[in-house]
Amino acid sequence: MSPNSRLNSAAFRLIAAYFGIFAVVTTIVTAFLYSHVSSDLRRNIRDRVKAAHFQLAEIAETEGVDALITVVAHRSTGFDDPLTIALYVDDGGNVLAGDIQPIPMFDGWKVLSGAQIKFINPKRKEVDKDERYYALWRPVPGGQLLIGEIWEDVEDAEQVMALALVFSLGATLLITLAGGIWLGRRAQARIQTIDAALDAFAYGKLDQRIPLSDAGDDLDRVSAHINRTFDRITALISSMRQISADIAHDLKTPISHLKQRLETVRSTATTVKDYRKALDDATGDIDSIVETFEALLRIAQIEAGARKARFRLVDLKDVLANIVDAYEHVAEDAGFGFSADLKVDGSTEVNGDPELLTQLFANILENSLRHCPSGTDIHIELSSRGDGLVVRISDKGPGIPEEERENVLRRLYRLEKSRTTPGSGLGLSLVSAIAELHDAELRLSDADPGLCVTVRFPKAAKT
Amino acid sequence: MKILLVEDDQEIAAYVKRGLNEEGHVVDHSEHGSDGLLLASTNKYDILIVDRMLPELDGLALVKTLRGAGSKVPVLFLTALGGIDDRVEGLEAGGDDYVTKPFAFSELNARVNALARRPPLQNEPTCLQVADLELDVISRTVRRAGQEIELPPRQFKMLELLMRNEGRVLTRTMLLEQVWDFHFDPKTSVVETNISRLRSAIDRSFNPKLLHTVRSIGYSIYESK
Repeated sequence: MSPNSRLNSAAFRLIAAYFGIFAVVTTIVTAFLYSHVSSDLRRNIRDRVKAAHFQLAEIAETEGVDALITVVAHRSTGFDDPLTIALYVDDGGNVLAGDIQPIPMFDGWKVLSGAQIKFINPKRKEVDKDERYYALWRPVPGGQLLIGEIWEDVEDAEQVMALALVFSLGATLLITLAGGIWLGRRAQARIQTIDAALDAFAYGKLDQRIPLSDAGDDLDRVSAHINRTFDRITALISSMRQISADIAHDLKTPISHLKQRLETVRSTATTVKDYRKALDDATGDIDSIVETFEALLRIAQIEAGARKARFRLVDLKDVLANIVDAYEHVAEDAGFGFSADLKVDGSTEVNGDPELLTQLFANILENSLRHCPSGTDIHIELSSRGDGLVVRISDKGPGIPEEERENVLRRLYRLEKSRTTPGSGLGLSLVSAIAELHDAELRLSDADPGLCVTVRFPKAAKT
Repeated sequence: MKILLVEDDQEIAAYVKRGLNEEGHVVDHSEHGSDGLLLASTNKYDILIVDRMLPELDGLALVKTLRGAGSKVPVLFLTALGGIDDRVEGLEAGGDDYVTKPFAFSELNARVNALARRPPLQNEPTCLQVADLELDVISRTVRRAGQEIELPPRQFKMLELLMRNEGRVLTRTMLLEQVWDFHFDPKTSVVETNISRLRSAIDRSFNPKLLHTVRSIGYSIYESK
């Protein structure tokens, strides 16, 4: 997989987006923490400086200026840590007491750099130039008092905290990224498996299926769905293959007949009359081959469902009346008993294609006429049941054994005993295809004796 | 008659052309839809025979264009095997009839003759007569030699079609389509049986016989001289 396609994969893009959001959120949280803690530290140092200033100012107020001078002066000798500074000057700017060299005066808070601070007491440590002091210069009785505290603590704390935060942020992001990539790779690996299976299937490996993980997650559900689709396609293809094989087999017989006939004629026929008869027979053979093809194409076309677009309201009674009209004389002349009962109260309209419905009933009737011995009774009946219209066509003929009833609806299937009678074995499968197109329920049952074909149509909704 | 045949299959075209020539028609042949359209719009033909599937401009578009330009020339479509939808589309596009491939020449010829006879977009007569056989479409009565004959509806329809095409052959398929709306070939003798019923009704007790069987092609009604 090329780097580009990796960047294009949905899983990686998702992880990149997730990583981005996570980084932004972590940075915001860290920045907030940092600023909160650091301002807290600054407030503390201010409070301490303010408190020290207040304490000394109170000494000056209650015990007098000299007391304060003593206290401040004491600081300059006693302290040897550079953490705090103090400077007491009178209003003229002359130093009264202090532990540092005088510095220019200011009012209120100021941050002083280490370079500005020089301790009077030489024993005290040199102040680092980088150090800073947080200083407050305010009036007290007898002059102005400066109190400062080194910023070091805050800075150290801030540094440590910043380091910790940056480190934790980095670690979190790194872990997220690594985890994300791992998860992404895993998802991608599974998607690649699906991809590969689809590819293999597309190139004809029909037994290819996608292995499912134990997770039962969305990818598994999609995979299971794809597998089911594969199953269905495989079933359809194998049935198509079966049909092709059946067609080849069914057409081989008439074609080899035809060939034999023509060969015989070539070697034996002598008169024009012989040739003419042979040609007529050959044409008849070809007609039956064409007929089989036509029936197959018709079934395929009906099953494709395109004709549904042409459905309209059809009166089932009219369709059946036409069928009865066409066939009653045929049946009577062939010695069958033929009766019809089309009297129904209420609407007999269905949504459908009259031409196909005509063929449906004609095929059922012809099936009976073909497979029943002369003298058999055939009955057609239309009735209304609930929200459906039921057409029953029954005969008192030999019937179809129960275990064969499903099979006769299959294409080109013919009962063993009727292999020798003419017919393509497509009549009832056409019936089945047309019924399905009309959402009609087709049932073959025992008329005891004989065959009863029941077709139940949904009534057309009243508009 | 002057006939234009638009068909890209050389073999079928030659077969149809030869047959129609033998019947005494003049046939122009075009292999492409666009050439066919040009010929059809610049010449006066009595009938067009158009294949549904053609290179460049298909038959359907050809006929739609012609009809759009106001042409009323009868059109017979040749449609592919099993193309039931093709047929409906063809008729909707302005075709007058169709023949499904493969077809027998006799079938095509019968349809060409029936189409040629059909006056384009004119009222058809309501009273038909062949010799002493009369049929009134409005009152739905049939008389032979002044004697009323009762016929079931589909036999009446069959007789009407035959009489409208007096002297022309109607094939079994044409009767199935036009009388019963059967667009498939029933394995049983629907037409033969009903013809024989009709024949016994109108011909049995009369002379001369009017309803003739044209062997392996179809049926025709005429008074033989």
